[in-house]
Amino acid sequence: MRRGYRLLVASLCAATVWAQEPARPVKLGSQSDSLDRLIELRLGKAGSVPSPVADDSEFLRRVTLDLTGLIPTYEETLDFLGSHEPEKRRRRIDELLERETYGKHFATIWHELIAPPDTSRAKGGSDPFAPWLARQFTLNRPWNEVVYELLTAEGKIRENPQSGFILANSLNFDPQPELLADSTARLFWGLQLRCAECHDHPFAPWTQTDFWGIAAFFSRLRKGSTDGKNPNGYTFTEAAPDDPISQKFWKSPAPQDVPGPAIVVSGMARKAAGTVVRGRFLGQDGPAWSDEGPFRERFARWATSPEHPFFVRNAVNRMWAHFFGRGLVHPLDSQAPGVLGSHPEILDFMSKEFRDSAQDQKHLIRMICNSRTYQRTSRRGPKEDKDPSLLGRMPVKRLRPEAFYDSLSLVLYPPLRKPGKGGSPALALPGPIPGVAREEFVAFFALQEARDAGSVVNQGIPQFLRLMNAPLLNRETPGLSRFQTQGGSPAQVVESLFLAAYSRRPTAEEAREMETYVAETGQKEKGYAGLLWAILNSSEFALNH
Amino acid sequence: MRCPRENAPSRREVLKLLAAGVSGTSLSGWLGTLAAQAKAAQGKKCILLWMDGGPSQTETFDPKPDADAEIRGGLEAIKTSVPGILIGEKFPRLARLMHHAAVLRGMKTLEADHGRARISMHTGFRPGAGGVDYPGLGSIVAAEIGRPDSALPNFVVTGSPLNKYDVVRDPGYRGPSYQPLVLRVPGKGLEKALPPVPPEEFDGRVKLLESLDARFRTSTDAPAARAHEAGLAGALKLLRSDRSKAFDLTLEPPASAAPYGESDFGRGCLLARRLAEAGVAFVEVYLSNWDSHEKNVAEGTRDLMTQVDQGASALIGDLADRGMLQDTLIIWMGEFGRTPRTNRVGGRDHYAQGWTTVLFGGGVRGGQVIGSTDRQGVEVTDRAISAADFMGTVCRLLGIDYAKEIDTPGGRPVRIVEKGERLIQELF
Repeated sequence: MRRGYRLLVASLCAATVWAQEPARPVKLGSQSDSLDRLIELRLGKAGSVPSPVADDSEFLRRVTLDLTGLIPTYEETLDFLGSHEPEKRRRRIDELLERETYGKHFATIWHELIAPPDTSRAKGGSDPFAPWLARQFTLNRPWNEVVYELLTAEGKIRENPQSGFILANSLNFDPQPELLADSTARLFWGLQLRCAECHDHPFAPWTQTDFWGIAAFFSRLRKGSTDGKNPNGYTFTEAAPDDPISQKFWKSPAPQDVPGPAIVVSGMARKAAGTVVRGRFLGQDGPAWSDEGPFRERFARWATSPEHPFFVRNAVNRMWAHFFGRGLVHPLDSQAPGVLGSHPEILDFMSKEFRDSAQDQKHLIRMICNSRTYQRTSRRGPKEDKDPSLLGRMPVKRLRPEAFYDSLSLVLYPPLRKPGKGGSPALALPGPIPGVAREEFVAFFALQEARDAGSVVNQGIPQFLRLMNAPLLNRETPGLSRFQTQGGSPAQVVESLFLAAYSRRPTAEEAREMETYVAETGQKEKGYAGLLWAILNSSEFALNH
Repeated sequence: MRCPRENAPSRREVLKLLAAGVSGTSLSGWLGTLAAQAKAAQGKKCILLWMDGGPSQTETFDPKPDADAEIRGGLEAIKTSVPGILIGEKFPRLARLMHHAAVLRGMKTLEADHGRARISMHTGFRPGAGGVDYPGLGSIVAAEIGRPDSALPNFVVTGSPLNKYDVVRDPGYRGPSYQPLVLRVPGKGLEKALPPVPPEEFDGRVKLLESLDARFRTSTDAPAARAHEAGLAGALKLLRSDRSKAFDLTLEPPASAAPYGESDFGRGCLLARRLAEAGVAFVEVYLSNWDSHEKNVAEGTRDLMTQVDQGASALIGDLADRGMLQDTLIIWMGEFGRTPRTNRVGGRDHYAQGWTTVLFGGGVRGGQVIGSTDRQGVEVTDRAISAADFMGTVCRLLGIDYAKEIDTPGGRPVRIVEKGERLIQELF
């Protein structure tokens, strides 16, 4: 099957003449190569010339931000730029995937998706859900296993952190079948079923019965409080199969005893309110239920199975969007039968790879990051980019607010390498910025432009005023003084600041401009301070490009 | 589901091409109409007093003095400046201003969950409808009648919502230029509005920054880079303008600040007046904790009512004194109302089937009640108003052509207000 596909891809590609080879050939795995050929085929058809592969600086900054939510440190950048190792990009990708910051970064992303700040979640540092997620990513557990655990979670969140998913879809700790159905469909299948809560979906083939047929699997999930009011002490329990299905809305009819997974449609649903809907796999008539539970486990197995029409496609699509800023199917929750997306052949190809690798997330990431497509420059070519979604060059993304804080910390308060331990720069982690709490900073700078889109740095007026005028960028910091005390020439300090913040050296023109600025301030310290201020306020620093 | 075609020009692009004379068809006729409408809208402003959590209509602007105690909830109704209009006893000051007000007692909407209803009442659409992210009223007003060249932002939000939600700020398909400036604590003013270095030094730094940004924008030509430059330009414009003084409440003479009361909401109303005077098109003031499921929260709302009575009455009075009320529409509303009957624990639950909003000024024909609920307050008996009806009416009052289609980034054109709206004609 795979072989046949490859042949098909190869024969399609043979028909195209490539306009441009990358400036520096990067040795790629065959999967990344297949992906590139599919991208380039479309570009060729559209008459677009792909951009060259990015230089080492651009690649390093991008891949480090995408995989670990941090810019590379000054030392890492110097090491990487100075290395002549031919496989250094591939090795760097592998190495980044093993860092602790990789798991944390993806956990931050999924924690926000699963338990947005406006839902119930354990507050602040005591929330065990984010560390649990980080562990799953670090261990690279198959994605279907992770989601299965979320869907079938029970018990106290402190002992079973995966029940954070149930908690996020609860009101006053009472699990809400409608919210659980909506979240499952959106996050894990890329489907927007919520419209079908109240009426048949206006432009997708989903009916009200489809929506409630999923909600039915969660209808016997109960809140069970065991030790007082501490939210972490709450526990979720699956009621016995013969327990009456839950009743919550003021307009709902009296409880009914229905065998099997079923739910009474709530008052919100107008016409259908009060009817009983049996549990049903989306788009199927069945299965036929015996009266034996547990139904949630059976649902979760189906919901996460490789044969599910959307589970794998959604995982691939979301991963793609993480790196390219936009899903192959866009918006992310608009999967539906017949929706092919911008590059149907890539979605099919990568879904098959993901399935065949037993849902190995790092495999997906390696495919993407080792591709020419991912490694192309984001800089525009001489001709205007007619259709950016064809990915002839890399899209520019905004940083997450956490990444912004951590990256500022790395520049302003560079973590010291521990002497005697080989001083591996890779292990340097950003610390808290003195006087600026991370949680408060992140909340102030976070902007979530659309539901299901991750938060990015807010480019609003209060955010600019704070960044420009608050002490953070207007005080002496070790990030600046370390380069001054080395006693370098202005040219050297300028170069070091560029490397520390932008992971690149300045162009000749930039170097001239910066040095002139420093000279004109009349006082070197003042000049360097102004220079760092401008760099850290700039779009090149706040964006991933 | 409709999938936007990747290569087809969008409707907006087609219009641009047409406007540029690519097609021979003249559009000057309707372009002229649009220009006239835009001119008419100049100077119109809107202040939204957002009652986050959903206040009880029965205890505020739709009292039921003849109903059972469980419906009245322990509050009496009082007479107002308009014979026949009764409102809740906690609003003695507003009672004297009801000749400026239109009370809409037949609100009948579809969302009874806080998150969804807040979006629905801000945008006029059910959340998620059509897979489109809709802008809230503030973004719509800023985009349609705001002044693009203003030193002050056209959309400002102040106050804090219920602690677990953020304010509704998503500019939706309108994009980042139409997101609000959010000031959580109005009395604090614009924080960090002044650079900590001398002006010449600051200007030198900014020049350097602008040069870095321009170079990056030119080399990437990325929307995110343009948004960054736009935000920076807005912040610099504000920082360098003495009109940013409008944000500083300490500049208000104590005698004129006093009527607004000592609450954050009162200060928010004062800020709204100062910003409206300075030309800001849309200000939203949040007042939270109306979510009175239980008795103690319900009792807490009595104090909120007093805050509203002071803040809103001072605002309306000031605008009237300055001759600005005719052009400034003030909206009082939450995301829904509350059940007419109190529940077992002495509170009231969410209720979207029949609730009340109030409009003041902005050219509405004042001194009237439109629509009604039955004696028990359960069903709307007259003139039911949907979220789209409401949004269409507000747009019309502000001179916004709400039937206009706007292209979303996905290429799908959508109307500003959902089709099927019925304007509240009694207001005009």
